[in-house]
Amino acid sequence: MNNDDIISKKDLLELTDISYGQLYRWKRKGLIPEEWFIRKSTFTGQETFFPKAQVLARIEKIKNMKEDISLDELADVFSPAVDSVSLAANELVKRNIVIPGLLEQYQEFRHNNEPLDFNDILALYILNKLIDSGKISLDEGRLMIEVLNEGMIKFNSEPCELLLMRKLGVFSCLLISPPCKLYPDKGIRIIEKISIPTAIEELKVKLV
Amino acid sequence: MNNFNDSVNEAAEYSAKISGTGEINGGNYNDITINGSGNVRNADYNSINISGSGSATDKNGNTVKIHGHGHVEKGENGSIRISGSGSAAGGTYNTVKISGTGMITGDIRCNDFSASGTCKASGNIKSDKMSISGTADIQGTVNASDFKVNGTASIRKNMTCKNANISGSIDIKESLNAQIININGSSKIGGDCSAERFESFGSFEIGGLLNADDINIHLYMHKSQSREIGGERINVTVGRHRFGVLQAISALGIYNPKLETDLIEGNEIVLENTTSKVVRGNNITIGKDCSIGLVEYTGSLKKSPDAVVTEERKI
Repeated sequence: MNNDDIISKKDLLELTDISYGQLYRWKRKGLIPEEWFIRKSTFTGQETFFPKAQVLARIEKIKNMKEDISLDELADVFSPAVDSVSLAANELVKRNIVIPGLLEQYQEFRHNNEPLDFNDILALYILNKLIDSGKISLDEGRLMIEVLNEGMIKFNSEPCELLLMRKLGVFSCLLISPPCKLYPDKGIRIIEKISIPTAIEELKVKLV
Repeated sequence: MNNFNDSVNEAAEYSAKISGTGEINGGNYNDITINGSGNVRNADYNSINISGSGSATDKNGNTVKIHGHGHVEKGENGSIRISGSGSAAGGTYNTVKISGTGMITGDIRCNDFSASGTCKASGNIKSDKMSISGTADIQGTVNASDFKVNGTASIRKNMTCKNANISGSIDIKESLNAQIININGSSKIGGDCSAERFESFGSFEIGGLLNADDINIHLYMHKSQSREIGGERINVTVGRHRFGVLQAISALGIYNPKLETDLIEGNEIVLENTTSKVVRGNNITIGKDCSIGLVEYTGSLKKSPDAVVTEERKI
């Protein structure tokens, strides 16, 4: 990690206009992960640094959301634990996570009526966004869901990105685990890139 | 480890009783009573009462041993009561009460756990209320709502609770996570200590970071130390003795308790008798008997005449 990627604690507080008290409180609540606190030896002794882009983005989000939801609820939003969230189908419609017609289609596609777990809800949320924006069709959505579910198991909950593309009208998709560089052939049109961790965060806010 | 409660058996209607000396081998009972000296082997029961000296091992291998008085009733509404010396297997209960010398083998989940005397637990304890008066040695983790120690407690893993009230001494090998921590005595925490409020009268040794919104440290007797301290309001003062003899002794300067740490960071910081490499904050007061390497402040800095501050910087 080179020096452009990290920011010192002092600079961070100044840049974001937060106090030591707030930083320590947010650390305690797990809003800023322990792993982001990087200790390094400098000529003044031990100092703490953070991954710059990530911590700045996180602090902005905390500042924006902390008036509306409690710090403990906020901690759930950011936690990597994709845990035992299971919602009844009608709740999903109520909270605007999925449109009713789509939900039925999804249930048919799954061939069962078991309650939806977090991974199902995530797949639905992403599907809903894409169909709603007209970017993909329902058939294409089915392939996307297959890739998403199987890929996430393969990647074992590492942060990953969903890439949707079309070549000569034929749809395909990939789940990639960054950082990686891609060079597609010129015939491929990338329709959409979806960051899974971001989608999870957005979804968790809706589930609060 | 078998769950003790797996063998709660509804089918048994029989009671068994040993008065004097006896043995029971096998069988399925609702309750077993031993008055005198007895051993029960390979028998299932819902509850057992021992007065004297006895042991009972059920079909799952769970053992209860008592020398004195003991009572174990299985099930979520059940209880373990040992008075004298004895041991019981873990499980889920309503209350666990040990007075004398008691050992619990396995994990315990209960609503009310109280030990007075010497208590040893080989597993993890999860209880709503937990009160230890005497000595407790817990090999696993502790998860409680209200945790009270009046004596000595040693916890080999980490502890999470809402309210921790410690009068005496506590030794937690890993980390302590609580809402309110009140210590009157001495505490040793191997890892980090996190809370909303931390108040200590006495001395402490924290291996990691002491992180709390409100930190109030009253230094007495021995040295206190923490690798780092962070929070919103941090107050460190020398404890004021109210009782004559101790006041006279501290006036002699025999005890001059100090706080030693590498780093203190907070919003409002007031220090006394503190040695720290770095102190950073908004408004900082460096009081008497302090020795600080570097102070960085954004608001105001007050220094007592005898405070030693090697470098100070307003940011």
